[in-house]
Amino acid sequence: MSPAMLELIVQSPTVLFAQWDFPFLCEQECVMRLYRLPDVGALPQYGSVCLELPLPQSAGSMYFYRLTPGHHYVVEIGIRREGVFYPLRRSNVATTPRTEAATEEPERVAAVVVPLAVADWFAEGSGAAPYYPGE
Amino acid sequence: MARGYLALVLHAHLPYVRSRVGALEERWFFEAMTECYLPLLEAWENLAREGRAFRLTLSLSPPLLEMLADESLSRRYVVHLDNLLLLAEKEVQRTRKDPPVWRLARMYRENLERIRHAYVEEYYRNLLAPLARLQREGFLELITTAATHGYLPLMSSESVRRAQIAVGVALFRRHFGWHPPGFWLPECGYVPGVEELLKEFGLRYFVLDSHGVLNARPAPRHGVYAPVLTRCGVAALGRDPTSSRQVWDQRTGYPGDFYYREFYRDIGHDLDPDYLAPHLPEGWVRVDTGLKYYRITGPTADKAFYEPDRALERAAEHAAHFVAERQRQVRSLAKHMEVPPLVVAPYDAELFGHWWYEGPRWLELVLRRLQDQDTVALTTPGRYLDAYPHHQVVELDLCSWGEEGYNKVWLNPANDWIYRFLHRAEAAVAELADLYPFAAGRTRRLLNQAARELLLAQSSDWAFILHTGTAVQYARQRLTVHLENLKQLIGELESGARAPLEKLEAEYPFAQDIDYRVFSRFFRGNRSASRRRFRVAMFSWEYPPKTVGGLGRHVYDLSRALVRLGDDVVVLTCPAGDLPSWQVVDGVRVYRTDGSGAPEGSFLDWVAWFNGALVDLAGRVLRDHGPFDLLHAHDWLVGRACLELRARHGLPLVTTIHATEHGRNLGLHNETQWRIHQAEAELVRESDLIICCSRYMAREVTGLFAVAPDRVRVVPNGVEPQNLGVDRWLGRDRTGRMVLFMGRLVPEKGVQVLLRAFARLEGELPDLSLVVAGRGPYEDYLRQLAAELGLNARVCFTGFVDGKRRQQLYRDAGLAVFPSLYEPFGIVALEAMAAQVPVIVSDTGGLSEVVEHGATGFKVPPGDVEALSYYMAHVLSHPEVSRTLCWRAWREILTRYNWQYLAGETREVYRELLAG
Repeated sequence: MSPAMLELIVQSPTVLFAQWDFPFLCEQECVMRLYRLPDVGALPQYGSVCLELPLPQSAGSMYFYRLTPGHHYVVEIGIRREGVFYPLRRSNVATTPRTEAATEEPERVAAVVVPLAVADWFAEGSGAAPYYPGE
Repeated sequence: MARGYLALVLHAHLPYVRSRVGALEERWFFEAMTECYLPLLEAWENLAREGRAFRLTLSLSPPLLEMLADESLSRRYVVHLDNLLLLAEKEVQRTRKDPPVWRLARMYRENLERIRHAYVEEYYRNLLAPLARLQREGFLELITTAATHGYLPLMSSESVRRAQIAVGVALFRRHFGWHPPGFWLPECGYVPGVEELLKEFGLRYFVLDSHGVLNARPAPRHGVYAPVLTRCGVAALGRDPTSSRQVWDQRTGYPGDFYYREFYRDIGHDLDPDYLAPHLPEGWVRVDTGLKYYRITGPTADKAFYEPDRALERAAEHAAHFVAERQRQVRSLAKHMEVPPLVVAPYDAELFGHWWYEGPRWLELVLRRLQDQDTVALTTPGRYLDAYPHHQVVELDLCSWGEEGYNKVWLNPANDWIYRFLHRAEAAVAELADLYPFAAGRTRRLLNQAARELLLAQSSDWAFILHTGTAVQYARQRLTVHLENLKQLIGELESGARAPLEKLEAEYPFAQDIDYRVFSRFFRGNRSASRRRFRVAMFSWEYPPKTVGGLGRHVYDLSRALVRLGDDVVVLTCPAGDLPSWQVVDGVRVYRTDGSGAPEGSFLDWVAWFNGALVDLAGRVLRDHGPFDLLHAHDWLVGRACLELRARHGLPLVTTIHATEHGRNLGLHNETQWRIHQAEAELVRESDLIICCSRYMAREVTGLFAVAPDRVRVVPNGVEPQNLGVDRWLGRDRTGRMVLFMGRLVPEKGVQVLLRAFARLEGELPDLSLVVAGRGPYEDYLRQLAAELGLNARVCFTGFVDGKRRQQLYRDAGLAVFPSLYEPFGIVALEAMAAQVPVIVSDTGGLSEVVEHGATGFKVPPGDVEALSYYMAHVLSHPEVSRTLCWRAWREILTRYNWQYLAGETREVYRELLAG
């Protein structure tokens, strides 16, 4: 019996990779939120929302680009109801590594969705559809 | 006297291949043996025979160690060599009339004859013996790496990383008989915390790419030219970028010199296939033979014939250049450093001889040249740290020596898809290791093979090959095979469907001595193998049947679990009605103070009297029972007695703080609370170690009482499912329309929030009822609130419930809710999970650590009525969600909250306490 899985993995100081597996399809449209946390133990509600986007039903993973080195992030997948976001699954906290040239410029996070092709032991990570909210 | 040092580090690794005879992938091993390992060994043996005192560090990966020691592989290698010799002889004949090529063919034939002679006649097909000898004679420092060269930063948990390190070290010890001093992180892949794991296994150092050290905090004073220490004392050595570029750089590095041999022009691809047929896999698959006649010449496809003498002249020039550069570096650095500079030059061993044919000869010339000067001395990291142990302490961050310096090579669109499968497999094997602590017979073999298959699937080679696109089908096939094998093995463990265990054991006999328990979250590298029996005097004001909160049940379960592990436990507690003054409960000797003389006044007066009675009782118990090893106090109520006993008898004291007065009351508001707080502060201050049930509680204790964090240990509470009438997964669909709360009726338990949330569900779930089981001073207020909300017909306040009634309520409940505003741990939530009831808890305190949102339950912000009502409706309306939550929660109960394991963790605290 596989529970819903949601993982956040560091690729580099400015890129995170999220992968998920929801055995139960969301009846309503699911939403993904990426938060930046003030410290590694903080709850998402005390962080700032970097990005919120509809979760494509046929996708199983996503890259987040243009993040800030040396910061803590978490993602949640949930449902929006009457303007309120109810998370159904929360990922681990991922901390982007520092670089010597870290700056505090405002983030302009972009996300690239990776479609889920085959539901068996192996799926091919084929092409991705870029998703740039607000651009 | 040298001005500085050079540490050359070669890392040798190949993926573990041992399956079918004649399989293409065996050729990787055969080629590396012929072109790299044997020529390098020959060069080192030459230097050793001449008495030239070189020093070099060699990392040998466990898969390579296993293959080097594999009897059948060594025999097949000799067959391969003989076949190559036949080809070389044919080439000598074929090229007789073409002198430049003929000379090269003879050179290859002579090389192969020499290699075959050395391998068979001198080394008796065992390269580990001469390598061990070179270490004993002081020339080499041998180290190792992760079990299957798994890339540690992308593993899903600390316990999985620990397993890779544990098996790697164990294999090294099995082959060499001693402990490696250092560790090669695969791909120099560092993730914060890995140094603690290395320390568990007694490893002293590891190597990072340059930026891994340069980006440390604080900035390293000497850049990469001195080791830095992590907080736990394990040293990190940074790669020198200059010496690295001189060898590795594609455009400017030595191996690209135009006089060096061209790798990509091999007779295996150039000559007639019929001529080559006896020497090709299956008679027709074109492969590299190692017989190459051209030199790099230039950037185009036009290649001139290879001229060995000219190539060796270039190698000598490059060796001289390399040494001169190191001398210049060291002279410049030494002026500004208080320790002699250390230049660390790590390389993949396979570069030397395989990719760079002249590499072994270049290395030999470098080692000779270094002997003929005195500015730069060769050393190893272990020797340098012996001579200069004190270095700057820094915090490191994620890094690797892969392209772009982080995880991108192993995590990108070409290979990111493997991690959903790998991580699920890792979680499955770790969970099985927890579920089966003492497996034997076929079960043990299944688990060991499962561990083996997972390790082989984790090899970083597969993700790397997928990234480079070189042998994609092979990498996919290896991943598929190992994960499918693992699936079959788990299938037999979970459902009895027979797996082909014998076949799998024969196909991949890697790490024969593996113990699957290295994957358990409770496995530690530095655990003492000692089965010392502890004599524990445990003090608690509650003990069943006298229970008020969760403390009494905790002491009851912990003491019994310790006894099952072989310890001698005595519990000293307060009187309980007509129960005898002493009794044995499941092996635990329980002593109760005499109730006579108890004062009628305030609670604090009673506590003072109780502690005096405890001291007297302890005196009698010591006389009758003999000495104890340690005292274990539970909360401030027994603090006075324990501190006095500690002073009188000189016994070490560990205290478990279950909750604080400050936390219970969200502050200190009256004289009594202040006095209790002071009693807690004194007990915490004077205890040798403190145990808290959650990280939340540990932070509260360290903050409230100004305790150093290194005096606090976290051991969660456990639960015994049998106490709730459950002994196996029941798989019931929770369709009951009853919501259950169980606990004390006090404001911090948040029942008022639950009532308000419940009221909001009337429209959506009109048939729902709520049972509030428990008693407390807040009950009247809650009853009044329920009436105001119009809930009288749907809410039932049961008062205190005994064990039987508790079990029945859990059986009937469709959902259990614990909306606490303050909760150091939340044992009742754990009990509901053990009873296989889905739970919703407040995202606060220890509850937040017990429940994983969306996996084992749901968490809502404390006091958030709207969110609580949403999740209640979500769980009650989706049976499949409810069932999945209950299943995962049940598995957590059997593993993470198993009292046997937690008693083991407590024993580790005892061991640490007694070690001083």
